[in-house]
Amino acid sequence: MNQKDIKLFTPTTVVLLIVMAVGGLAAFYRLFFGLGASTHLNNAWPWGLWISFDVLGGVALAAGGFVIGGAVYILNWKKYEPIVRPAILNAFFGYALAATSITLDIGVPWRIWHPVIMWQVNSIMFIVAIHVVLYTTTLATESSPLILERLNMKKAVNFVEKIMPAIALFGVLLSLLHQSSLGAVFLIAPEKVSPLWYSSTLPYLFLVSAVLLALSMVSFETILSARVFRHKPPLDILRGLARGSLVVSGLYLLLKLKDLVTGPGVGLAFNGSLVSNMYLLEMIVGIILPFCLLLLKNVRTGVNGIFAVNMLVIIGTVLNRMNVGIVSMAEHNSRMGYDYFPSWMEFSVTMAMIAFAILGFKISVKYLNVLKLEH
Amino acid sequence: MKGFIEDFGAEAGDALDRFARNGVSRRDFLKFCTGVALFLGLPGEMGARIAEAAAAAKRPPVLWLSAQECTGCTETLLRASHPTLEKLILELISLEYHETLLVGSGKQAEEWREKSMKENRGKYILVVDGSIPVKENGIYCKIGGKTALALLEEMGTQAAAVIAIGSCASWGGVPSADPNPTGATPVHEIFKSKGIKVPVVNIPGCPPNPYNFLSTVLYYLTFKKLPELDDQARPKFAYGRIIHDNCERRPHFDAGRFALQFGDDGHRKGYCLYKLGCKGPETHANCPIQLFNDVGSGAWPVGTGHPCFGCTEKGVGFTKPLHSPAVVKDLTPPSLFTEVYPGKEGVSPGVKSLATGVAGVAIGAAGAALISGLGKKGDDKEDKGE
Repeated sequence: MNQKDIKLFTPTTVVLLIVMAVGGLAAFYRLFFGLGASTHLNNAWPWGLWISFDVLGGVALAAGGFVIGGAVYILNWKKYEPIVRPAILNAFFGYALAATSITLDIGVPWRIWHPVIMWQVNSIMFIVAIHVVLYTTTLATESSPLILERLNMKKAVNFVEKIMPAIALFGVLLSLLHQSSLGAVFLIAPEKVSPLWYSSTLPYLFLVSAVLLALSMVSFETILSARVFRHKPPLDILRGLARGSLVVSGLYLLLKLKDLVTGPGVGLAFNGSLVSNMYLLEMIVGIILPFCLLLLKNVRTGVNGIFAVNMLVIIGTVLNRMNVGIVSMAEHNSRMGYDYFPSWMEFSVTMAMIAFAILGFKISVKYLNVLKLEH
Repeated sequence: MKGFIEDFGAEAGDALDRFARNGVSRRDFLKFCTGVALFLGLPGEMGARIAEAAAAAKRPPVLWLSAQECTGCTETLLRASHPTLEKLILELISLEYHETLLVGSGKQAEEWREKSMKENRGKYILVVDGSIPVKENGIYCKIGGKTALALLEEMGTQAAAVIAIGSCASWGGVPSADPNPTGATPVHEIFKSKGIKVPVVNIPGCPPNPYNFLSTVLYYLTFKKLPELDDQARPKFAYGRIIHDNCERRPHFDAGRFALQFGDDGHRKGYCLYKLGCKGPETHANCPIQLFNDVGSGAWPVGTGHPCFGCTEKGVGFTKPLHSPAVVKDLTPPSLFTEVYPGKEGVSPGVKSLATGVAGVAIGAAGAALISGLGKKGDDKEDKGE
């Protein structure tokens, strides 16, 4: 299958376009009428679906960019070269969407550029903001050969590829800081966040889980595009990623258990409340099951087994971000007398973001040399 | 105790007669002295010794020097009222010189001061209110043609002890505020620079509580030594703790209930004034327990709804902006406070359905992934063949 065979107007594309249109209208409504009119956010719930799913989840899902970028451009692991472009492009989409969501989520969207000029170095939000800006720029640079190739600008491509290790190094540095600083954001609310998630190691947990998710997400995409474009999945790459997932999920499991035991104690996880059950679900789906399954050799060497584990890790880690962002504060905010269920506009904007990422990726694959398919 | 009072009655009869003529009964007088003893943290029977000292036939001479001051310290002293303190203090001590209270004036007053200093050399207590200007040899404050600086040096060297009353004399006060045009300097710094070894007690405040001054004087008269002082020469019984420690609004601070603007809901309800710039957390004084003017509870700045501005504390009063938050000493409050919504269990319905929905999607997707991924075996072998 080559790029020309990719059909642009399929029923799926139409559905995605409709979703994007609805979400786009909702986003405009939010810009003109404000957060109060368009969302169900309130004083106790200043952060809802957009932050928990779009930003926390989106940024975590974009971690593949720095993990694979670092492996290929810095560690020179040539084996993973075929997947570096889709991984970085995917990260670019993830960050662009996270940046869009933050813009919509802050009270005065047209002041989104303020942190870049007006530094408030004591604020964790400043760290997050400046990282988003810098890393999105870095990802755009890392992805630029795609466009430059298309425009036949050979010199520019050569230049970018020459400085790629430096850019990749910068990207890895920013990602290490940014992934963890998203966790650090929640350290400012010790009395709101449930002790099941609140821990001084939260930044490290965010980082480790982002790496785990990166491996799974890249593997997932590789298998998925192999199925969609009907070519054989590169099994050695998938097996390498699965071995990496095994190591990282083991480390992540250890860190999570250490936090549980040294923090609130095991009892809190099993007290049967909704919040505790959400914690258990996240632990089982996102960490324990993938780790145990990866221990089995026939699971971590077969495409179907790897695909299943990838799904579990993606679901579990996104669930973790939803838990930290929303569920962890549910009991405190309920005691304050506040409730939160996203409005249809919040849902539609989030869905439009996902649709945009899928469609954008598809268009990129068709017109740019992302997957290095035959022309 | 009983026997002592009888003896005491015989010895100090003259003084007590004198008090009685001024409307202070022997009983009132002993009660007052016992009260002073308790305020100083001394055992009750010390009251009798204080009474003995206070009623001694030869009253200790006190000279009062005023420099750059507003007479607030003198006024506050006249506000003490149990029992009618202005009478008592005039009888207790022999006030030899005080610009505001002098009967004589001009040359006569200055002559009396010099005579008294000569007679009581090394025995009198010197009280100073107001800061001493030192710029250009102290020309900014003169009394009888002499600068306050020269007078302090002259009177200070011959005194038994010096009590610097008020913030100006203790650490500089208002006159020392930036840019300090007169070079206003507190007493103890001048003593240090001139090498004068006479002990100095600081009673800061703008104005200070009269009882802090009175108790220090009585302690000195009784024990012939100064009360225990802190590193800034302030009596520990009065300045040993920060205002925040004994503030009546402290529970509001601990619970995170703050007035955010003058006249807002929290301000009307008497919430903590920390966020309005109350300097209680960094100011050493006994205002919340001693109060002012003997009119009962609430008679102090915070009690009336105004933040403490730190008048007793060097580097706080007249230095820091009135409404900027204080540096909280001894304990650092969390930037967010523990919740004040006890007793409600569980999760609101909206979040509950959101969480349940998310859980449902996660379980469904995970289940589907497991079944589709691990159930099939066909293409596995195909791939392994690669």
